[in-house]
Amino acid sequence: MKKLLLLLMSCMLALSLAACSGGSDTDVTGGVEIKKVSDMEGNVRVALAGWQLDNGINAQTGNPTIGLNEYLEQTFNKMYPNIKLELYQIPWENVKAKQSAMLLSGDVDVLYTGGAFASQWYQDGLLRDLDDLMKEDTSFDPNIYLAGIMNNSYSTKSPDGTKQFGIPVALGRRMTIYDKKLFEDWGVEPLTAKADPAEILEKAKKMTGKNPKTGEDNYGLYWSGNSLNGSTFVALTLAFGAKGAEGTLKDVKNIKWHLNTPEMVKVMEWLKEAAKLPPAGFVNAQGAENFGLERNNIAIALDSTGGSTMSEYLSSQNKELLDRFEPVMNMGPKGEGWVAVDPFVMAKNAKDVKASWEVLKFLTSPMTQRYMYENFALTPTLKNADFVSPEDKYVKKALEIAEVGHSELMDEANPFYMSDIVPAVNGFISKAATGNAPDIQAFLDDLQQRAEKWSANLK
Amino acid sequence: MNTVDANLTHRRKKISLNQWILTIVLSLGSFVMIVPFLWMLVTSFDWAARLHINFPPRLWPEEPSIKTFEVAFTSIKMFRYISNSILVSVGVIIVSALSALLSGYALSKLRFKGANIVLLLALSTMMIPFEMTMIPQYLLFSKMGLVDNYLAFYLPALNYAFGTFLAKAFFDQLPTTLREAAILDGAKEVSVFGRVYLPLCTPIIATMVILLFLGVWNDMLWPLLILKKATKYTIQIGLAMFTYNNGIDKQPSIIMAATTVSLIPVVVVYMFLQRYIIESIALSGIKQ
Repeated sequence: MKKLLLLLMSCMLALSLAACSGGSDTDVTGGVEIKKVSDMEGNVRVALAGWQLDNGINAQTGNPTIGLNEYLEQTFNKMYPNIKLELYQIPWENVKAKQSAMLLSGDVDVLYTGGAFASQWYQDGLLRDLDDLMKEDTSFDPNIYLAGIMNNSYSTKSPDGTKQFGIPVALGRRMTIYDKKLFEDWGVEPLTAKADPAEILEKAKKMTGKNPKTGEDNYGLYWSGNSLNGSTFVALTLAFGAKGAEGTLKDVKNIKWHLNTPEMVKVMEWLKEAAKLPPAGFVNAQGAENFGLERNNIAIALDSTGGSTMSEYLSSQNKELLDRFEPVMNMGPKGEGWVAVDPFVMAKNAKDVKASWEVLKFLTSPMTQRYMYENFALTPTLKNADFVSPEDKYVKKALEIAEVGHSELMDEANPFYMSDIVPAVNGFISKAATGNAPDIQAFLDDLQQRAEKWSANLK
Repeated sequence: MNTVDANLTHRRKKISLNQWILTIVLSLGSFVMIVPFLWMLVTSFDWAARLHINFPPRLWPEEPSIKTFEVAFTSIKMFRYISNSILVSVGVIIVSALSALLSGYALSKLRFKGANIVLLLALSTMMIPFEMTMIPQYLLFSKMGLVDNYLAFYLPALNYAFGTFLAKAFFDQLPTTLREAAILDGAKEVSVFGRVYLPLCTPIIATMVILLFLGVWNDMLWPLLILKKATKYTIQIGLAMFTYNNGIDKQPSIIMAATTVSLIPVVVVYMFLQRYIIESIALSGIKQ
C-alpha cells in the first residue's frame, strides 16, 4: 500500500514538473518607447493585494500573463532608474491584518488594497493626504479618472469629501445582466437600458418556473443573498430614494438615522418578493455557477460581473455567449449602484514621500491600468479607457455605471452599516426566501432603534 | 473437504452480525473520509472547474487537463513554498518539542516550589486567542528586526504550553525512582533526562511531532503577517494566491491542483507515523 501511494505521489510530482513549462511573448509597452523620466533616487516599499509578480497563466482565460516584475523591468525601471522598489505580494485572504500590521509598524510606503480598508485606515490616521503632492505635480492630471469615483468615493476621499487620500486603479463590476435566450424562450420583452426594480421584479416573476421551450426549471432572478457589503441593498436604497441616514462619516456619532421610513419599507418589500425567485442556494451566494455560461437557467442576475462570459470568450473566441448575456445599468435612478473601488494609498509615515508619489502615480497611470486590464482583467478607472476590448461590453457598462456613481451613508465605509445593517438585511433575505419574512415595519423599527443606540453610545 | 477448508468455513460462520454491522459502518465512515480527497483529485484535473466548482461533485473531470497544474506551478513558486514550509515546520518541531520535554521534565520530576503556578501560567497563555496578540506580536518582532526572518517562528515556539502539559503528564507516569537511582550512580540532571527518560518518551515525542507538524503546515495567518518577501512564503500563503475579484472568487481546480501537490509531504509524514497518529489522538484528545 505504501509503495503504491509513493508511486502515485511520484507520478503526481512528475506530472507537476512536466506541467511547468513556460515562456511567453512579453512586450508590455505596446510598442511605445520608454524613456527616462527622472533621476530621482529613493527606496519605496509597496504592498500589493492580489497582484501577480511573476509571469504565469491567467486561470480564467488560459492565456499567458506577464507578471508585475517583468512589466516594471520594461517600464518603471527605465523611467526611474534610481528608484528601488521592494514589492510585497499579499493574497487577498487576511490582507487587512497584514497591511494593518505593516502600516502600524512603518514597514510600508505605498499600498494597493480594498476600498473599505483604505477608508478605515484613513479614519484611523494611518494614511497620508495626497492633495499637496497632486497640486505640486503638474504632470499629474486627476481629470483622467472617472469623476464619480475619483471625487465621490469613500475609498479615495476623506469622509467629509475635502481630502484625497487614494487614487483609484480598479473598479468592482456590478451591473444587471440578463439572458436573452431565456427572455426569448418565455416571450418576455428584453430589459430596458436602465431597468428599475419594479421592471426587474415583474419580468423575473414571469420567467420563474418550467421553461416553455426546454421544460427545464428556470429562475427569474439571482443576487447574492449573503453579500458582505450588501451591494444589491445599496442599489435598491438608491432606486427607492431610501437614504437610510443623514450626516457625515467624519462625525458618525451625530448621524441621523432614517432606517424605518416608507421608502425603506419599499426596499424591504421588494426584497421579500424577490427572495422567492432565485435558486435556494442564493442565501449562501450559491446557485449561479452557470450564469453567463451555456447551461444557464437564470434569467436576470443583479450585481453581476460578466466575468464568466468574458473568460469563455477570451479562451474560445466564440461570441455566442457574449451575444446571449446582455448587461444593462444598475437599479439606481441614473443607473447607478454600489461601486467598489480599490485604490493605491500612501502610508502616513512613508519614508520617502516624493519617490513614493512617483511610484503611486505610475502604478495608477493609464499605462499600468492597461497592463492590468490586458493581463488580469482588472476594470480600469479611467474616463478614456481606449484599450478596453470592443467586445468587452461588461467593462464598458461598469465604467458607465461608475461615471454616475456616488457614495451615500449606506456604504461599507459606514461602521454600523457593516456591523449591523448588512447582517440584518441578509438575515431578512434568508427568512424571506423560506416564506418566513418578519414584519417589515417592526424589523425596520428595531434596526432604527439599534442604530440610534449605537450612535448614542459613541457620544 | 480438507482440514484447512473446514477450518475456514467454521471461521466464516463465526463472523457475527455485529462484525458485519461494524464493517458496514466503518466502510461508510471511510467512504465519507475519502470522498473529499477524491473530489479534490478529480477537480484538480478539471480545467472547466477553474472558475466554478462542480456541484454535485463529478466522478470524472468535465474537461480533463493537466493545465490546472501548469497554472498552479507558473503562478506561484510551489516547490520553494513547500521547502519553506518544511524548513519552518522542522525548526518549530525541534524547538517546541525540546522546550516542552525539558519544561515537562522539570515540572514533573524536579518538584520545585511554585511548579504548579508555573504550569498554570503557561497554560493560561493558551486562553488568549492569537487574533488578540498577533498585531502586538508583529510589532514586537518588527522592533527586533525579525520581520521576514524564520526566527519569528522559532522564538515563539519556545513557549509550547500544550506540549509542556502533555510532557508533564507523561513524565508523571514514569517512575521517579529511575531518577533517584541514576543520581545515586552519579549522573547529572542533564544525563538523567537525556539518557534515562528521553528514550522512554517516543510516544509523546511522536505525538508532539504530529500535532506540531500539522499545526505549522496548515498555519496561514502568522506566516502571512511576519513574512514580507514572496520568496520566503510558506505553502499556505501560496495556496491563498489563487483568488480574484478581491478574494471573493476562487479558482477551484487550480487551488485543488496546488493543494494536491502540497499534500504530498503531509501524506509522507502520515505514512511513516501513522501508528503514532492514532496513539497521539488517544493521548492528547486532539485530532487535527
